[in-house]
Amino acid sequence: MTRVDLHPEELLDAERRGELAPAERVRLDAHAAACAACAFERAASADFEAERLRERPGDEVLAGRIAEATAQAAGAAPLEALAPEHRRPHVGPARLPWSRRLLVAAVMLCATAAAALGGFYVAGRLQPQEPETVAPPSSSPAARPSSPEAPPPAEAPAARHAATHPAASETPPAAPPDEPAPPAVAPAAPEPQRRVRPAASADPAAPPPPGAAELLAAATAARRRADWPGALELFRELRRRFTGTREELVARVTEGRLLLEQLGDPSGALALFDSYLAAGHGGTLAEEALVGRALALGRLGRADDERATWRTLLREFPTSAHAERARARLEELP
Amino acid sequence: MPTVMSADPWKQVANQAALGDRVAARRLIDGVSPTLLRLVRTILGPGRRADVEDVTQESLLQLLGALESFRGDCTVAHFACRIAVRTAVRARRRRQTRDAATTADSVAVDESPAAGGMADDELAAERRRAALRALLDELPEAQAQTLALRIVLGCSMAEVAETTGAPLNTVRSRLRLAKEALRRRILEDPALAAVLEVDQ
Repeated sequence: MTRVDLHPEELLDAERRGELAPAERVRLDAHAAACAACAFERAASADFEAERLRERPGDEVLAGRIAEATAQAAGAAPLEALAPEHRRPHVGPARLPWSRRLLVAAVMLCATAAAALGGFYVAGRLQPQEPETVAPPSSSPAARPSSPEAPPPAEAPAARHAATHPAASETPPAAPPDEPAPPAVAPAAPEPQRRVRPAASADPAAPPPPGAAELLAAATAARRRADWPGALELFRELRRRFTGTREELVARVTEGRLLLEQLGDPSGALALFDSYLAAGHGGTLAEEALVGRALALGRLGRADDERATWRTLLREFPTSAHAERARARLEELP
Repeated sequence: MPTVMSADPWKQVANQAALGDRVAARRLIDGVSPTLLRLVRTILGPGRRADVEDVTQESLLQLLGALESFRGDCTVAHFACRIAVRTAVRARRRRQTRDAATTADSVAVDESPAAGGMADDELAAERRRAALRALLDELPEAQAQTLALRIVLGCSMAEVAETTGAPLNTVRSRLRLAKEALRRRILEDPALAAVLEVDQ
């Protein structure tokens, strides 16, 4: 076995796209004959693709149950709100064990924070990268067209095999049997549509003032609408009324980002990031707070403090999605 | 690439969901959940039904949270799959940290209960899948993510760079290091080497 350090990744790409020229195939085959890793990659790619496309009995029901639970957690519309042609078979309410419902709630909080951060916050460090760091190829095979008549949830590689592997459809031909309900667990309550208004009225018929989660959702929605002042007001109301709650801690970081990126107030942002980090709770947004702190310090021209913050980020979060950015910035700083 | 992008049947739904359209969000969730379910199961491996449900849900929620940053450079479905790959790889690693005595991937494929009914080709394929899953837990995370996007999802180098936010040369370097680890694993596993018909 010859050790091969240079792998013909472009040829492997071309092979995946079905665009390998005969001469290139000869080169790739010759390389793979001597390179166990590339031989493995070629074989395993096919293995995994076959596995990804393999439907198993009960998948439709399970996917429907997962979708229902996710929709409830995310505050998406109920199944009945969809046009009939868009409905998946009814599988009954999602009835998840408490442990999983708690997980969903935690993830949803992170997802809300991610949305609130406009893609900056990498929830659990699982999110896509910051938009400005992405330079996708316009010729991405994933961007290939697919049939608009049958919206395919299958990803691009699967689409390449659409002829032999039918993609999942939104409208399966027949409804599967109802899923048996797990015992003694109440279905998760659907999230109400969050619509927040300042509670200025003393009218007893007026709705109760919004809670922390509602305020955070409303602030996020305002930020999505580019209503920066409205978002800021809601974030501050949340921080004032619900100090110390998880939502309020999230708001420290999200408001910090808003101040930093939209409202040109790095000093105010820095104070919020520091406040979050000083809380010492090991919060899930510590990584993002550190990044925000470094960026704010950069805006303020405090190079020494910025450098120290980027180093802290790399030390405490060595696999951070922002690690490359931190290293690049450390090289730039005097 | 406006022509290509407009052909993505989920693009408009995703745009509406990103703007807070709850019906569109539901359509998107329902539409991509079967694909993500299968993808997550592929990465987590057999015998992980509860984890598969959790991680698929987590992926869907991450997708909804990330829609605003979606720029339409790939299809929505592929965007969702990339998120699911990253989520599932991280979930594997969290689980491994939490439960150092994981057994599913350490049990030899030949000895697994399902192996008896497998054809030789399928047994070889499962051996390769198990080897890669185990490697995903051992590699540094950036390398694991790169390898999973590459082999499990079939991403091109450029797509991996886009998904991970790393420069192409960094991706190339990560992949080289991951392949070196892969090569060592193959050579340490006679059965795997035999499947690939490589000399030891």
